[in-house]
Amino acid sequence: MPSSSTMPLSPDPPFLCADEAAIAGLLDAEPHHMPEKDYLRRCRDRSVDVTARLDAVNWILKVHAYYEFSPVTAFLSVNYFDRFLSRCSLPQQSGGWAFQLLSVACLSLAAKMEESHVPFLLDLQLFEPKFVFEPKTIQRMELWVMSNLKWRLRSVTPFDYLHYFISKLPSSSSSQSLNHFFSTSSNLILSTTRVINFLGFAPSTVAAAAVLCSANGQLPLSFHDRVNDEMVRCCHQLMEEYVVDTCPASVKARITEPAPPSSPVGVLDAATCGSCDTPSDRNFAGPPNKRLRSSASDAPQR
Amino acid sequence: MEKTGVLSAKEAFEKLEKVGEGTYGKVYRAREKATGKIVALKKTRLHEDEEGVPPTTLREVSILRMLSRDPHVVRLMDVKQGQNKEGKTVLYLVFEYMDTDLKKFIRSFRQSGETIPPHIIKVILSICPSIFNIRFFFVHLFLSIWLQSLMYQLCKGVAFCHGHGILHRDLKPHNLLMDRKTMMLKIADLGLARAFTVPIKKYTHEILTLWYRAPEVLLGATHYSMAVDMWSVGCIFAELVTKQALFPGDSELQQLLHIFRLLGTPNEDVWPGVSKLMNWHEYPQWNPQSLSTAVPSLDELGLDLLSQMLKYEPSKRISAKKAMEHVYFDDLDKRHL
Repeated sequence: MPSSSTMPLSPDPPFLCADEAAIAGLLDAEPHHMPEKDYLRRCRDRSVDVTARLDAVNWILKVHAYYEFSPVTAFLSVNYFDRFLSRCSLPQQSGGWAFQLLSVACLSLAAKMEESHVPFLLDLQLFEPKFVFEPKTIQRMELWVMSNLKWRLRSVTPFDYLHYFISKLPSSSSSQSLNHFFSTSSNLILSTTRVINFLGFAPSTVAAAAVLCSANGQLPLSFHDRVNDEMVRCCHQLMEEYVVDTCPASVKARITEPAPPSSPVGVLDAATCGSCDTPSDRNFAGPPNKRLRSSASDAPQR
Repeated sequence: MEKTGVLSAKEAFEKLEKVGEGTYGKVYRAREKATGKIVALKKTRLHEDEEGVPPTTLREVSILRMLSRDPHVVRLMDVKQGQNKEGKTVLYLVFEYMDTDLKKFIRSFRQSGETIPPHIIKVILSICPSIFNIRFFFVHLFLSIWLQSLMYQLCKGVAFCHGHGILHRDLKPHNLLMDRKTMMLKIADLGLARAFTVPIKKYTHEILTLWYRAPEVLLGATHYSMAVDMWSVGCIFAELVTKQALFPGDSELQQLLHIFRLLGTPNEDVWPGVSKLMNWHEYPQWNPQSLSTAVPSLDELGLDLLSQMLKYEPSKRISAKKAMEHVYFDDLDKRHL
């Protein structure tokens, strides 16, 4: 399956760029949609099972690509997953079923929030999973996730900032360059979900760094007076170190040699940032035909 | 959302009466036992053998978590989980209670002719004190202030949603709740609302009750924007004036023809790109009529605002924020709204 392409641009220019007030609102809200503050530390000291986390993220990204979901759906799934894990611990001796159930529930919730057509829950469980869960089990997990996240599922994501930040670039005038920046930045943002170090950055910072990365490092005077330029540079540097392999060709071409990871933790993270095509994945039996149900089927009719 | 309820819905509330029924369950007027406060309980059945929590419930609750602090969006006070008699999971959304909606309100006006209830006169005087200076005033003057107030509140609520990246997608009189005493209007029923990320996505076009549906949606556009809500606001505006639906179509085709008869059949000159939309066919050719033929009692400023809400080309349609700044609302004392 081709991976999810970026969404086509709307032909209506007045609705393209968020205004300052909307951006300020997003910046106010974003702290409420991030994992707990100690989550990154817990990932680094391995009190959170980062291998299981990476497996879950890779599975989410593969299903996302198979169904051609929007990039926001994949990012939201991982956001729910991390926010849940930062507040709750799953049974360690579960043989992996708990993490898998959480992944399915998070992807299902994100798809229902974002997509017009959502696969049936059984059809969502692709790529020969070790366990297949019944809808009622997934529903119970969904409810647990939602109450744990205080029903804040409309998370602020880096995608909410992209067009505003792209509009700040010196060379973003033509619709062709807009499309280029948007698709390149989107791919970079999705790639960051695999690497735990990016959990330390706010969505606005990740968005600004991705735009900077896709614009060959040409820095605008400032993305926004409330976006810390130093944090953006730091995040941008991490992107160049870790996300090179998953960057689109245009970005790869200009980074001839990736800088070595700057710390032992960095080495570990770089190791976990491989492609999701593991050898076992290459032999999977073909997934079922795509059966989609419309999430708008409940639209009222006169 | 102020509470994270420990008591179950059954323990916490006493149901008083059923006030409505939606796709996923019933709505009750209920009393909170602890405080005696009257609330609306929206009961959502979760069929365990089906597909988890319904998308409409997810969207409505998560969007209300974000928007509920605005005075013109109905307030979600709590979400409670419970079980019904068969042991199936049920979700109760606990909302502030509003005693009517705009659909019922318009109907009551239609039935009582042009007479204005005394409590509305009191409210109108509070939001437009300058009316005291007029020795002899007419009913239509009262009506126009009342109309301005409701429309301003609607634009303000829609502007708040749009400012937070939310399209409502199902604005209609039935989804606009009101408090009869204070004439306060609140947007409700965000089950079809969607977050829009930019660039604006392909959305399903099977949304919105036909009468309030924008022409780009009827013509099959899959890229759409806040402008779809503003079309609905325009239709509601006209209906508030005439007490009749502006475009009461009973099928997608009839709906388009209603629109074309009044506004003229669109073409590439008035709406670039219209002929490339999925459902575009050769339609009968009508010339645009003056809006005053459909809404004769609306004054000039009102007609100007309405015409900007009903522009064919979505990008030319007025935004909710701009609508609030329109001179039509200049007489209002906006501090009370």
